[in-house]
Amino acid sequence: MYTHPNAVRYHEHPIKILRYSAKNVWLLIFPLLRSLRFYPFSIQNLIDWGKDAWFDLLIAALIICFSTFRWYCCSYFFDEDSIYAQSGIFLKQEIEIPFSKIMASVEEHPLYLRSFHAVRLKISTVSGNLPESNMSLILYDHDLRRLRPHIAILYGNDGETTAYRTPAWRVFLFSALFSSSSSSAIYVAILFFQGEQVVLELLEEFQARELLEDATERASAIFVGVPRIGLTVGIVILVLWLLSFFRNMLRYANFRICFGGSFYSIHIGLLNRRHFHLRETAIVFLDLRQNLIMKLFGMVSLHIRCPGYGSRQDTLPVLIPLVSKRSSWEILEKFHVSPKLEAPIVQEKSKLRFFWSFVWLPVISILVTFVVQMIATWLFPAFRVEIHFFGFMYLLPLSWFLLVRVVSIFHQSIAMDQEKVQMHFSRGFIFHTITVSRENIVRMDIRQTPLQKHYGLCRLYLVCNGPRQQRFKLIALSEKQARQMMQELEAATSGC
Amino acid sequence: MKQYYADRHAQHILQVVTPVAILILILMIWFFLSILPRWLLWVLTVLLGIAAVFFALIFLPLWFGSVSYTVTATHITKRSGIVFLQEQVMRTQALQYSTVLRTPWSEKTGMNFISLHAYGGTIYLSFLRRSDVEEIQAFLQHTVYYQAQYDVPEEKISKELAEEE
Repeated sequence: MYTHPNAVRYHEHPIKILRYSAKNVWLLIFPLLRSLRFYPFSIQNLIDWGKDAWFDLLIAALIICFSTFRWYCCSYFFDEDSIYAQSGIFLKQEIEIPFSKIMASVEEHPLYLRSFHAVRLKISTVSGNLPESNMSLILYDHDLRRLRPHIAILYGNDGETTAYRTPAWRVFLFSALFSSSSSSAIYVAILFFQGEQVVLELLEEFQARELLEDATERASAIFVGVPRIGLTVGIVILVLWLLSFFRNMLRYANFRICFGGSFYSIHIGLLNRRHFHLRETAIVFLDLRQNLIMKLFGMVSLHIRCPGYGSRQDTLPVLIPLVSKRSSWEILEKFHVSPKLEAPIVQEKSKLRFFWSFVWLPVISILVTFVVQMIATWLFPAFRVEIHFFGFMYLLPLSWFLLVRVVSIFHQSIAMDQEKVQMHFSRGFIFHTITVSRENIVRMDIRQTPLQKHYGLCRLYLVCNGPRQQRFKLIALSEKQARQMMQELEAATSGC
Repeated sequence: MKQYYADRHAQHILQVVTPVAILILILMIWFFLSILPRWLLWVLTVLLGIAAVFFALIFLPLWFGSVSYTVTATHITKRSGIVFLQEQVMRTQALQYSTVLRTPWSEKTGMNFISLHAYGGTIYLSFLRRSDVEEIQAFLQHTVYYQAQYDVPEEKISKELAEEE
């Protein structure tokens, strides 16, 4: 390998051995512990237990030995320009990341690592072919301090720094507003997928099924007339939502952001303290997000698109969790973004007379739900109560969606000036205000149905740069304005 | 500008390994799928045999003969393909980071691979000599990776290092 001749190789923290052996050892720990708890503690009983469990113990020891050897074969080192990480026993892999290309880094201090004076360091470049990071290392605290002066992004800001702290009540509100049962369901599914046996053992230990049945029993005494299956589903959804809420609370507590110079630092987390360091030039765009409730109260949540930050499925790329709309303008100015483009060369707003383009999906969905409900009641009269309950439960989010789409008619707009494109639109249940530099737009598509062609309307798709290319859709826009925007972008590209 | 080619040692190893692997596969088919009709087992054997011969004697020499990599200060180009020629070009300055993968005794076998990751894509340079891999890495270090991050004040660094000591 080509490396600097004076480079000194370091090993990661030995806690990584546990990570290498985690899943396999966990599989053995539960059977071992279960057989252990039947015995009162004494030397003789321990020997007896050892006689029974010697094979499992031997396998566990072998797994740990192999993981130790694997840990020994992995190392990292750095020279003036780059950081290298080597891994693998037979198949050797070496990753080299130049310091100048590091766009984001995360220092993670989970509770279990803190007690071992260890920290997880993740490094990302703009090359986003990996979802989380391009390099992940578990280091001693003092090794990170040694590394810090060599990597500018870890070292901190080169200019004046201003900090912004989010109050606890806003983090609480943000967690409540951005929690969802579906995200927890994904989390639980991943947990099952990664450690099926371990999770099943845990569920058995905590008697999850019995608890759920008991909760349904108690709920049916309160909600008389609601079918039992509906209550069980409701409890599962509520538990998943609460799980998501508490995870969000723990994840975004103690939120603090430092602006200044060429870098931004974000500090979040209660149990797992995380310090994100982002390079200013890595930010692709800013995204002000609101749901309908936040819109009513004039609150926004500021998100960003940046490689290495919020790229995991279960983490939001949040920059300011919850802030009033007026205060968000001051923050936007720190990113050299104005809340409204001063001198737009092209500007277009959605028009009320094309309301059907916005509301057709929820309206048709609601009608289909009614029809399906009627047919199902006619076919299965014995399940009338259950069908009506689930039909009603399905209509609630659809009605909310309809309301969001109606508000979206008055919200959607797009404007373009010499440098930036700003768009207001809704996606699902969330309203977005995205301000993106023109050079970060990689594609623009115009699509039309024959009817839209007749009325001179179109759907405009904008694809932005980023670790994962993301597409944004604006509906029922004037075709003329959309084409003008396209020409402007083309002219700017050919001018380069 | 320098042009690199796939190491022929890797080709010779693959030409030996492929028929052996297919022979093992045929034996496993005869052992585990013996419930299948005998004519079907023979058809599978013949098909796999033809595939092994084609892969070892025709495909591998042609592919190794066609593949080449050009590394310059401005572009990295990979050319490959037997019937349909493929050319992949990446801007050298767009390169973000690289990954090197090597098998045991790779200096003899030529089983060295480099993945070059850029904004929006990756180019794989396969079956390179160990010396070529080192040369490419050194070249990239001098042309792409060597860039100032930002000026960390000297006194701040020396203070931090002194504290560390």
